[in-house]
Amino acid sequence: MGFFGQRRGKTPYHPEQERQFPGEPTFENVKEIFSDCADFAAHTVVSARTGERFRLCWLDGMVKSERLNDYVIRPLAAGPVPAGLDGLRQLLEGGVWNLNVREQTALDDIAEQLVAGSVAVFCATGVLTCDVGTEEKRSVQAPEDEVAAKGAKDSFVESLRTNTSLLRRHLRSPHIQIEEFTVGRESRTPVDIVWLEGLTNRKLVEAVVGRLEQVDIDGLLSTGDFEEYVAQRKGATFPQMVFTERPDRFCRGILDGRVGVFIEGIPLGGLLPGNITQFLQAPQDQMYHWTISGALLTLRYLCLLVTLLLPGFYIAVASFHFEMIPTKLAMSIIASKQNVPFATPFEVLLLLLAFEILQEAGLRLPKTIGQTVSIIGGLVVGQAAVDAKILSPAVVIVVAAAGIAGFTLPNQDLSNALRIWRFLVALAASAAGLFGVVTALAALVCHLAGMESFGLAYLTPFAADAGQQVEGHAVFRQPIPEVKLRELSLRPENRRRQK
Amino acid sequence: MKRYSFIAILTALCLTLTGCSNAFLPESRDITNVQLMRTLALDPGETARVAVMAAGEVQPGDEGAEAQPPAILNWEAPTVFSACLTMQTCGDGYVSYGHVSQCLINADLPEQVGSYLLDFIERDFEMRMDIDLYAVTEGRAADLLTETASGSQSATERLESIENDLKLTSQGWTVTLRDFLIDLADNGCALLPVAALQEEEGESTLVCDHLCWFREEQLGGELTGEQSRAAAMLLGQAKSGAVESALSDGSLVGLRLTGAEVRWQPQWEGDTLVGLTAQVSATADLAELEGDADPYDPAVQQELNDCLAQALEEQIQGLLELSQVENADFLHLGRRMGVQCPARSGVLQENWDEWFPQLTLTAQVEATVERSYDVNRAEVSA
Repeated sequence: MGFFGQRRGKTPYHPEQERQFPGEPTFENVKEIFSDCADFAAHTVVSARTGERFRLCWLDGMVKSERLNDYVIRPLAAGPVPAGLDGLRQLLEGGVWNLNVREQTALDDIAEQLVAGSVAVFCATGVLTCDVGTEEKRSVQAPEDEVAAKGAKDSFVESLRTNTSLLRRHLRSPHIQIEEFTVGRESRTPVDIVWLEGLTNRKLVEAVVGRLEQVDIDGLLSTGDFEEYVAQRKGATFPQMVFTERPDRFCRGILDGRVGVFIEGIPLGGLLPGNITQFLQAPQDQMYHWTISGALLTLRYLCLLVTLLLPGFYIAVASFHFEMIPTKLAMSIIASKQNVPFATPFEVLLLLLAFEILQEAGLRLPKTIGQTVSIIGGLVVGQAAVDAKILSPAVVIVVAAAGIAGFTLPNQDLSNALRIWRFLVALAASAAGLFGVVTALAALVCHLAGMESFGLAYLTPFAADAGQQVEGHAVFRQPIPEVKLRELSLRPENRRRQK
Repeated sequence: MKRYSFIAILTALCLTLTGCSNAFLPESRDITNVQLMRTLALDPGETARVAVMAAGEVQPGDEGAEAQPPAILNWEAPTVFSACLTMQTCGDGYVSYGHVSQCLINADLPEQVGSYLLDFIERDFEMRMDIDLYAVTEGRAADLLTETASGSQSATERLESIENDLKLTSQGWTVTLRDFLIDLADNGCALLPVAALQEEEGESTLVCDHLCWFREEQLGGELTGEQSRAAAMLLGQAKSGAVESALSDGSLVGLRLTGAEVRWQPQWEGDTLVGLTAQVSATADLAELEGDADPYDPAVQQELNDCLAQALEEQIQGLLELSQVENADFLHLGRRMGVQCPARSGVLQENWDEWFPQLTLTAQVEATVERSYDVNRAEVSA
């Protein structure tokens, strides 16, 4: 056994499973595939006019009984279905009252269609599948995480097709292109790639499609599965793909020239490529007056620095460079630290850790209990720790201020990355004071500067963008009528945004 | 992998730039164990060349306990540095001089005053050049610290309040070590506020109500309060102040100085400077009037203006004459003329020492008592 578990052995062989179920597409073979499945159901229908027997099978719970009865079984039993090849063709052309009827020739496809909510109809001359799947899905609701007072009140849901319809309702352009892929050997998750023809850079689309086609994973069940395969650089702590639950924000990304991604089962839309400014923009940025939006965005950048640097900076000045602290403040800190047994770095790191534990505890528990934990942990325990001289009030203020500043960031992934780097900066500051802070910061800049997403440098527009001024939205948003062009860095085929 | 190795090497190299040759990482001094010193007092030593006293601030009591009196350390040594270093060994914490903001210098220090501080502060990374300097012309500077420091107040706090008080009276201003050294480097003369103990009903209070001037880094003399205010006006430091005068009918008036602007008018004869006129434009408010004079009467208003102009003119003229008599250009008129007449700065620089004693220095004051407030009339007069 190694330290982190069993030693890694030789990687097991993972065969390409283009065809999982060899054999003829017969009812017996399908039954054999689902032999141990309790939800596998079969039924035989005899045509009242021709006497032909049709064997039907489906998966219970995946189909809607009314549809199966009314639009498949009834026409088969009572309809004028002749026997032979022509009969199969007649079924395809209206003999079964179903829009999505397909003739199947491979056992794999039949199995896949059954799982997708179809019924398989076996007749003497062939096999058909008819889509009679349930449409049980969550209705479109107001966004929960990206609330905007003046914005639209709809959000993406788990159903891929609902999400594409939301996109089309917000962006009624016939230039929208949607290409669908199935990803995941076992999950068979539909993934849609969305872009605007004539606007989005074709090479970007091809790159995303190429990357997606290379994904060979057993199940695509979360955003991370997709992001780490398609968008993420290994070892990068910062997010490289924006996920949003708001259709309006998604559409704005598409209009900027980005490529959109929908994944079945995930109520979010993804936008590629991502750069750092994307993660600091909030939905309401385009809704308020540009001066207010600009001020709020500037505040967010300031909060980014505060959440990242404040604990480390406090350690540095309190442990190494206390000459930098204004005298009155220094005296106040000294007075507050009287009888506190821990050194400043340990105190800060301890409280940062406690803060993370509290945050995790609050997330894992039900909302009501989570609030109680936050109150008990933050206020009661915090106050008790200060009263008992275990922690000094200054450290509590510093860590709390850093934590609260982190909450102002609109993207949770970015916030999480900063939480990691906050510890690193604090550790570096503990070791070498401001030199440590600067070194950690330099390492962070190196890290960020080394990242790119589909050819777009992560620090665009601060460290790239071909030296051109960004139109629109970097640190301070410009008035929308002034933003004539789209971002050059995305290389859109049509740069002109407005007259 | 290459990138991470590069970052690791870069980090290691950066850490070597921390300035510590005997250790890889800089030495940590946690603020918990630090004793912050706020005020220094320099006196001639009895057993060594210089006596240094350092005082901290009043430490607030923990959870309602009584406040701790400010920590005071003193030591005599050949240099300020060695005295400060020796004081580091006193007590259990690290004594930090990084927050020293005031320094009292005994004017009787036998050697050049600046040299005591300049060398030490310039070379000490903790100390700052913006330390406020005060001269002590009577008694020992250390006594001022110890007399002022009590359980509830430190010399630092008192000096900080003096700094604000000086803005009200205009009888001086705070001079930083940087300014002091710049002035000395200019022509060997500089002004410093004088700190002294004032005994009132058995209690000692630290006060500062006039300036003194140094020549060649030694005490040259002291100015009176009025001369100090005149100096403040001429150097643009007068923001406020009180001027008392009497009108022709015997009414006593108190005027609140609200501003003074100075223009220097040089008189040249060829390439020789023969005279300098300080054209002062002063404004004041009528603060108090005891007598029957009507401040809304234009004749009285004119008399008020004349009284203020005459009072200020006498003060300024007196200061200019003192400066000339002592042959000490502590107002730095030479530097001022050099800036005002850049084309002749070279000539001025060469001949200033020769010209200065023979210059005709005059003061012309135009004063305006701008407004008063009378509750009976409930209107502002302009």
